[in-house]
Amino acid sequence: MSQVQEIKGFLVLPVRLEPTVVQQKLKYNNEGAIYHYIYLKKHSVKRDLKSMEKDDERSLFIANLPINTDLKTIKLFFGMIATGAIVEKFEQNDFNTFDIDINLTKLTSEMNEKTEVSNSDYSYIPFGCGIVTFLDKNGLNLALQSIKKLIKKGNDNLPIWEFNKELTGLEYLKKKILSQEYLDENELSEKVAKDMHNFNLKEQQSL
Amino acid sequence: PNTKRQKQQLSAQDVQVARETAELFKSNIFKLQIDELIKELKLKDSHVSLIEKVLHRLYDVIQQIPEIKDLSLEHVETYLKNSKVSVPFPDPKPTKLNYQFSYLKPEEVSLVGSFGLKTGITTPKGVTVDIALTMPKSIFQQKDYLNYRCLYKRSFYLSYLCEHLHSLSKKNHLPIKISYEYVNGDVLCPALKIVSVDTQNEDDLIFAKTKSSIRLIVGFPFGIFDTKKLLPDRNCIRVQTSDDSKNLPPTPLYNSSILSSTSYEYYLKYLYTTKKTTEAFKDASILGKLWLQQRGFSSSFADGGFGHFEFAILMSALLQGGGVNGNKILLHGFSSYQLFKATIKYLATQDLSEEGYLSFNSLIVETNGAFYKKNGFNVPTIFDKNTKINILWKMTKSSYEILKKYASESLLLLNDVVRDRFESIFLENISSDLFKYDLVIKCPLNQFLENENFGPLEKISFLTFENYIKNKVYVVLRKALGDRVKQISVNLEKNDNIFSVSRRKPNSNLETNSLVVGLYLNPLECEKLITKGPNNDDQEACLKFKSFWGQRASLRKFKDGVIQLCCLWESSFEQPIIVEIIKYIFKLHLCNNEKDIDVKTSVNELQKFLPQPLLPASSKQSILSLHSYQSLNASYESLTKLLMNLELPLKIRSFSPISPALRYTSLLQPVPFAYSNPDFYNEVILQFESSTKWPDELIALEKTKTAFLLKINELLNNETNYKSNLTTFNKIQFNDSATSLTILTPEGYGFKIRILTERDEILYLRAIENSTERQKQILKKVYLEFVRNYMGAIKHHRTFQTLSHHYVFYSASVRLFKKWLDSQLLLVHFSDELIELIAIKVFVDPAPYSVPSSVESGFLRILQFLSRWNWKEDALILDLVKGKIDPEEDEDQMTNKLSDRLTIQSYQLINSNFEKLRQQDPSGSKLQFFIGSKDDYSGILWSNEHSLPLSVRLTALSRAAINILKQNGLNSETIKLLFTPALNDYDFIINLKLPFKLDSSSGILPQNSFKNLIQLTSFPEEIISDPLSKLLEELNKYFKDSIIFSSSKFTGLNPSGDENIISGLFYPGITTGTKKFKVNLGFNLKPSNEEDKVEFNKEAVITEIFRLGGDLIQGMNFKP
Repeated sequence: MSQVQEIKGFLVLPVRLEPTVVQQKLKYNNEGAIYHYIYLKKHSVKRDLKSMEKDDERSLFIANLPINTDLKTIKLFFGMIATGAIVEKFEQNDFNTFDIDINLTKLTSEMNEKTEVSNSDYSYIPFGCGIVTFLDKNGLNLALQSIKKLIKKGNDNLPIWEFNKELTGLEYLKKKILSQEYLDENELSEKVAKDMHNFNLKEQQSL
Repeated sequence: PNTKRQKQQLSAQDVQVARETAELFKSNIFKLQIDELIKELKLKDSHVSLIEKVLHRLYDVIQQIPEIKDLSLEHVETYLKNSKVSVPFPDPKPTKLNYQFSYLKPEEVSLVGSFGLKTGITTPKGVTVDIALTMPKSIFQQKDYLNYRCLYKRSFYLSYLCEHLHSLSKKNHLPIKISYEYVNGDVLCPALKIVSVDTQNEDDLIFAKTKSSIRLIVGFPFGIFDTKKLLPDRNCIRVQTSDDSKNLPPTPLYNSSILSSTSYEYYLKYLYTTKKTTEAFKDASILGKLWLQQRGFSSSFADGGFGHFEFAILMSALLQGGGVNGNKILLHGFSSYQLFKATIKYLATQDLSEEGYLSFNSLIVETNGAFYKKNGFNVPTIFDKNTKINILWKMTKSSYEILKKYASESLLLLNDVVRDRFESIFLENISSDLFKYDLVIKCPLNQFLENENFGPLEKISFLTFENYIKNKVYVVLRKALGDRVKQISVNLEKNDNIFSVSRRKPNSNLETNSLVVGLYLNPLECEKLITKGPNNDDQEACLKFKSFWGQRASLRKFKDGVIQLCCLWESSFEQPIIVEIIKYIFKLHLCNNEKDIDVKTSVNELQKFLPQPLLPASSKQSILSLHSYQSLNASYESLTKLLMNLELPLKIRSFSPISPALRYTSLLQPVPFAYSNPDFYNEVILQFESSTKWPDELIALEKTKTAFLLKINELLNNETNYKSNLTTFNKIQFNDSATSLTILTPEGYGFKIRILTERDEILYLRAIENSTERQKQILKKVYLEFVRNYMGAIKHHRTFQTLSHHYVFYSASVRLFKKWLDSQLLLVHFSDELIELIAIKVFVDPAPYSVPSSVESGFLRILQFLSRWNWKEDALILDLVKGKIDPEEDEDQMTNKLSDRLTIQSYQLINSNFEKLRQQDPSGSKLQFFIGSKDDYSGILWSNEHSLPLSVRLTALSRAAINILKQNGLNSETIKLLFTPALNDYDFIINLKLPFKLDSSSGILPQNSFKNLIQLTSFPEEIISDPLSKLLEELNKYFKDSIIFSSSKFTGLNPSGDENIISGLFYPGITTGTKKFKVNLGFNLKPSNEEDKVEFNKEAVITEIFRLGGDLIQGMNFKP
């Protein structure tokens, strides 16, 4: 196993992946532990917005996350390795793999607006990465300390990455299909009505 | 009005000038290509001089042969008793004769054939040098043309020559091997075939390296027999019959064979004279020879009986005249291109069999000595008045039909002013049975033997049983199949013309040989259910019809009240009606209705791979039946009608379907309630009447569209028996707000509706305009995705809906092609549109073949095209219009069709787009398949997102498939192999199994089941199509930058109905070696031993794949 603890300013934390039942049954890779590596760094973006600065002091940027990572898995993970570091939110880009941000609203609108449109309250996150924001600065520091300790201790004490147990196989795929194939009409109606209302407002303002 | 007329005249003139310019330009290019080609085909000078040396020595050897006189048959037998040489007497072998045999020095030894005319060309089989030895006059008597006499004399002459050549050649240092060969397959005319033998002796003259062989043909002196007695309608073999001998049938083959044997040297001189007067004659002959050779034609019986010699004689005759008034068809000053083209045109447009024939006189070279005469002899005829020979005597009606067809097709190509057709005309070999016919049928010969009445009269007319049965089969099929077929070829699988000199004739292979019947079908007629006969009141005709069709003939009353005799056939999903008819009629006419004739065809095996729909009586549906598609279409029509009448804030202007099933190209036929079919939902684009109220911002516009869809959704669910709901539409990157409306119709079909407005395109273009340089590249792709999913899809659909109707075998062929792609796990990688464009190539631009008229020819030619398409260097430019231009159509019709076609300007524009593209991407690593058409001048619309390895694999697999077929033929084993996935090249294979079957719920008839037991009648509560395709989507989402995943799109089509595989191929550039650490590398990384560098974490990725697949994974195998 590699001894690398840091790479270009990122902490390198190996986590153990547990083979699935099928994988064990098929005796694939039974010999040793399987490691996945996540790369972590304090999140800092040079922005002059005050709200952002506040976030910066308590968020962690993580690259090379295992698949299917969501708030639940992140909470579970930090709950395990750093008790007391409470995760407030988790943001990621689960949509496209281009390493460039494109906002079609901004690019096609001819309204001279200064305020940003919804859902871009974070800077662009590359695919497979995420930003974890802790409840407070202490939480972040606690998490970082625990991680550094784990890295130093090495092999035997490395944590197991708990995948979301439901997110596997047939049930998971079915859920995925259904969520895409059946949009909740009421929810959608409300959202569309709200968005269109906002759009009209903005349009009137810009005139 | 005056000016208008002037304008019209002017434009007509302009068109004419433009055409001529194009034609001239083309003929110039053509000329350069021809010059280049002829240079390449020229025999090597060193080889020619070596052959000449050999010929001189051979001549010397022949001169040394001692003469022998007046041997009786018994003497001959004793003379040759101790020799290894037999006399190649033709059948029947002589028993008692009252005349003598002699060998006297040949009257003349001369170089004839193409080598003599210096029009020989290099071929893969090598060159044959023909030498004619003329037997001296004194050997013959006036009546020797009768009853094989001269032929027996020649047989002896030949064996004596052979015997002495054998010993003398060795002494003269010309080591050779001699065998007998029937000249052009004529069993009456054996000759000596001489090939070089390699020795270690330096003095020996060895010519093996020239790959050539020498054929010593023994001829009779010119004019020795009374030619009138040997006219094609005369009898020259008197056989004992109970009837008066005057009623003996004519013996045209026998007569022509004898006359031809008198004329080898004569015709060489005739052609030589023409060559002297016409500069380009030599080159044109070479072109003709090559053109024929590529189409499998030669002077030999088995190759249609029309080769270099016949082509050259035809050109000579046409230089003398050939028109109805004797007007010259060819002029001496013509270029080789003009000579060739005009000769092809003559072959294509003048009927030399039924309507008329060409009569010429080989004595008169200069004056108008050739006429096209009305009323043919019902056999192909070019008649030489001087020699009384029908130059086409070795042709049959069957081979003539096919020659004419090739000529017509090549004429179209020669007239094409838009693109270069040189390759299709001269360079592509299309003689393989596998690809040229629509349907091939094989019948072992032996089964005809017992039942056929091949008596003495048949024997003198046809000479061999093979000729007789070939003719009979042709006649029966012509009559039985009528306009269901265009041309019929009947041939033998094996043609043995060469045999050992120790034998009298080749071993009979009647027991092992087969008849090969090749059919060119008429797509509009071949599957019709009824063979119509005469009206009931025409008694004589009825009697004839009944005697031909036997019990199958029955009376039917038609809608218009007419009562007619007809035969009714039964269509079936696996077997074309044609095959049913052939089996029936063969049994009736070739087997006295006693037993079934073994008719082998692979079409059934191939058609089996088309999925049979789970519909009542689907096994009785013809492969051409579009019934299931029409039901879907009806449901679509009523849905759109209903939607049109809904009360909406804007009026609906149009619906544009974009779904394969609505253009007859979906792999699975649409079946009601078949929700597991991946193509179950038929996408439709809805457009409203134009409005200024659409938001001027893309995402807001999508929201507004969603509002409209929500309104429709509400109306449908509340007021109709349709069910609907909204779904996400995420095929356009960065636009995550688009939605579709999913509709289930009461008939059991599914539709997905999206909205297109007049603002969309403007906004996508605006995004490009407003973007930074870095964003621009990506936004251009986004724009292309938009075009692809809306306007592009609409145009494509409209075009292909029309084309599927016009080319009746396109639908089934493209569906089988999709099936093949899916079997090879490739279908998931290519869009339906791209596949359909590739497949239409062989239909809209079939050259050098004709339009495929069976699933077999359609499918095989698509594969062949794909295997040959060098997409790095060649764009595929398609003229997506119906039908080809028929040279016999009148001007108006032709102009009409021309106006739809790609002009030379558009063609060149598309081509220059391709060239620009390849300048930036010469190896085609970014874009492989460039397909331009009137719908897409850019050529990149449907070909944009495939990675190089997949395109390379597609080409490689099609090549492998074609090679298998070429080596082993088309049979059930090879067909099975074609549809078995080649898995060895993948890095790993995941075996997957669902806990439920998807076959019947996909609308596929499950294997080995009684379809009556299964019927789809309703939808489940929640429609979940195929979870495995979602798994593939998920795998691609996470790992597509490091692994190429392939899978079969249709789990239900796999034999078990619940199993599938996903294969994985690691991108070598990513999964090997190390990279500098970056957070956005796009693959799972682990630290490497090098500083600041990372590498691919394969173990973790595999574990994640197991995680995603979960309980569905049955096994995973890695490449050893």
